[in-house]
Amino acid sequence: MENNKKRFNFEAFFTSNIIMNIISSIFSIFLGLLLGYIVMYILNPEFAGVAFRVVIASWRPIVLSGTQAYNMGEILFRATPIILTGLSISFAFKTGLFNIGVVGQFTVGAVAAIYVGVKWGVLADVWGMNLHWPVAVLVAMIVGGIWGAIPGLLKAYRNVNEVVAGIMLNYIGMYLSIYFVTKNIFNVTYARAMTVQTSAELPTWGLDTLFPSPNINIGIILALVAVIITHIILYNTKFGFEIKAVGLNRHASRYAGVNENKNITLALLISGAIAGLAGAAVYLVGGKSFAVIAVLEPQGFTGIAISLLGLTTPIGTFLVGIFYGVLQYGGYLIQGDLLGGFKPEIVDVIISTIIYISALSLFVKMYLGKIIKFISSRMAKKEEVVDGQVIALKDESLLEKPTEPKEKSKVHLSKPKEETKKDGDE
Amino acid sequence: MEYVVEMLNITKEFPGIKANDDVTLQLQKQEIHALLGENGAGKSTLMSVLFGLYQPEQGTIKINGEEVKIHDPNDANKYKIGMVHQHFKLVHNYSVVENIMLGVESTKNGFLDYSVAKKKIIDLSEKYNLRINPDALIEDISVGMQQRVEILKMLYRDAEILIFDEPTAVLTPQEISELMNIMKGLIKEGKSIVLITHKLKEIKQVADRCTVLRKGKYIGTVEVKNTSTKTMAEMMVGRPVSFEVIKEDANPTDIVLEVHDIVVQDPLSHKLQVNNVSFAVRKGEILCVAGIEGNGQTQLVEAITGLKKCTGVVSLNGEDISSASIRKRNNMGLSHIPEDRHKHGLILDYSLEYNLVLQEYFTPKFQKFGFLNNKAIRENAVKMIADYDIRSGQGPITSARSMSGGNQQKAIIAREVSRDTELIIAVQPTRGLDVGAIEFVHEQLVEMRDQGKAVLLISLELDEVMNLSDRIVVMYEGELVGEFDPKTTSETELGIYMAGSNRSEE
Repeated sequence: MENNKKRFNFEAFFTSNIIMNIISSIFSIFLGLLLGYIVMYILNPEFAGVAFRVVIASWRPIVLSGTQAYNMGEILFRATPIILTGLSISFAFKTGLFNIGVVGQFTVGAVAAIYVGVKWGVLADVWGMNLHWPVAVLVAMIVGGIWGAIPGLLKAYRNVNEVVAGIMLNYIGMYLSIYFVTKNIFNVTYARAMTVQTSAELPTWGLDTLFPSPNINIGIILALVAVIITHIILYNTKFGFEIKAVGLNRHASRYAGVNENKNITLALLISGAIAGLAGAAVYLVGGKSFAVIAVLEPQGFTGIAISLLGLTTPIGTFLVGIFYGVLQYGGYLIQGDLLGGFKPEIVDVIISTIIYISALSLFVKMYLGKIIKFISSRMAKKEEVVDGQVIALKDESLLEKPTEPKEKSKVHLSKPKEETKKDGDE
Repeated sequence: MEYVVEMLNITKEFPGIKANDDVTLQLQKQEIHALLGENGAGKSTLMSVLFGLYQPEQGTIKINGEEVKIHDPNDANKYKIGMVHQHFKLVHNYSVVENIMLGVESTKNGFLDYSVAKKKIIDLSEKYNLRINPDALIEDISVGMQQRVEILKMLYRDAEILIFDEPTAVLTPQEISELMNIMKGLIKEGKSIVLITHKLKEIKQVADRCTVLRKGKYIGTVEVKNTSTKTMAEMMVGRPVSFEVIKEDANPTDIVLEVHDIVVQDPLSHKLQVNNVSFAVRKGEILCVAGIEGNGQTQLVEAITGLKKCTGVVSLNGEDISSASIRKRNNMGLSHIPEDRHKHGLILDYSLEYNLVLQEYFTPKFQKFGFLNNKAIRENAVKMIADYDIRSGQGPITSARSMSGGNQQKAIIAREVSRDTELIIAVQPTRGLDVGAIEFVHEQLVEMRDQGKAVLLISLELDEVMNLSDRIVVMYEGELVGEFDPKTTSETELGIYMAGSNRSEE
């Protein structure tokens, strides 16, 4: 009996959803890296090995880069906007919504931040305090939030698909931003938006001594705070309870008296605000200026990938975002001729391969489940032998049995998978 | 005696559980053999073994006296075994003929030949009295007809041994009696039937013999004729079960719920789903709305609970709540055991403890300043699990999805009756439950009544209606067509009203 219990726990642990998801995510990352390496090898066999090592461990100092601390700064700087857009998408996912409008929310948030950063210099000294950048960040979040609330309202009260509305609003947001920039804060010489005033740049708060890179600022801290807050909202608050409930089962939420329309709208508003924050984090930086071209900002779409890979949880998104920063910076480093002159786009190849493979997670999970069951049955068998209760038939059946039901129900998809499985579970 | 199927000493294990432990089932030719057991007793597993979906660890299967190995459903087909699943396996936008011939299509020069198939299907349907419309799409026909299509599918493949998995769970009383006749007709034509069920009444009606399973173990096989339902129930549950609901006479006092001229219109077809319905429920009584499925009971409940818009007046304790939000109604003392526990009753991917506070998570007991009090939520779950004997794999953190139907329903009932409410609306609270669980539900509802709460029960089962209610109203095509006292009325009388025959009198 005790053996049984032990075996059950082992299985239950590894086959529990969270662990399985994490394992399959890691598996996807591993395969994606492998494929990335193969592509690099095909492009340039001589340098593939060296360059690949740089890409996956770009924090290590090499000739081309600075010290480890410097590299870390660069990585964090690159990870910041992606963590935030990923977080934005993860949050919406929990309500069962796919906020593809994150691109538009990012853009309008960025332009709002730039506008405040350029025009509202008076905020630089309010009773001795620099309120310029905080206000710029806040305005970006508000504008991003409004932009996110539009598909939310449409979804909640008119049942317009949020994906369609989001895509439309991406373009509307982009063109509106271009119009707004050329009209108000246009730098004619460079044909770009003006750069923000120094008082509107995100401060470093000593991070530059820790990570002596010129790009580092408190953006990463803002991202971390956003991750923690969303995590708390989702898992510890009444509001989180409600929006997750709406995402998992709308009808039951309605039955329980949850105001689903309000929750959908609010969730997308918050999601949009986080996207707006991402926009601010990218453009409230010295020397960075908004290009007036009709191209959707890529950070939003990358965020989708990061969110999925992070299992649409805030903490997962943060970790994967950092990993993405590592790859991105690595991609930047390997451009030089010294490392074979790879294009940084190789990183996008790796990332997209990872996403592509993570779509196979179900497949991965299935095989993992089998392997784990096999191992656990082996362990149980060993214990039985130790106890001196060797039952020949039982041993044999233990080895084969766990894989059987699944295999059968897989082959005969039309057959009563549900009932049979249920019966087994009971 | 000649057996067409013998399953001898079958043992089927799943990790941590013996779904079948030394089970024997012997099916005679031309008999209806009932396989009785509670949910999770291993009935479906045993039949899945016969159908080739699982391989047993031990035991032998004999077909017509010959030992066989059934590796997959194709083998089962070969031995002329056919199965009608509880949830039909039909392609919804295919016609009846297409569904039946799917997999064994008749062709002519490489092209599908419908005419041959159609002729065979019509012949079969006439022979066995299975009324179908061969050219209709599955999505357009009734559940009863879909089931007949499933039966024809087996017959089309020349099945001799027919397995019915809980066939009556989805049917109306009329469709059930029709199915019973079909089954009797089938055995007359030389087929043999295994009927999986936990409804004793049906076994008594059609079955010749009955094999009882309990918790995976073989309890025995009995001749249905010589065995009382009480004995079979006891074999199934393992303890004496009372079918009679023991309750005192009702002592109704003040009106709790009053509805006046409720009208619900279908937004698409503009049909009146609920037509000018008025009634009142008092403290300390169980009012039952009887009727055949689809006569507006669902919509009536949705109107009262606020899930659907309606015209008319709904008042709770004298206060008009017609335009109040769902949350407000719930807080004012309305509790609702919904018809569809998966759609409305539970958030399947939430844990049991979260589901148990679904109606109360926002109260000061479980949250402060918007933050959930997870400790209180856990304590609440532990208490309810103990009080209502809710069984689950991992206690409070079990996901609701992994629980059995009976325990899911127990969780919902625990949540709804433990709240401080004055009105309980229970919609088909015992649907799909086994005897033990039904007993529990009935006890709870009577207990609520005795505590002075008002209970509005919506039920399709006449037994339940007669046993449980203090007052009965019958609903037909959206209207209330009669009010009855269960002590003076009969099932026949109710049946006549439910079928709409006496409509003009009222």
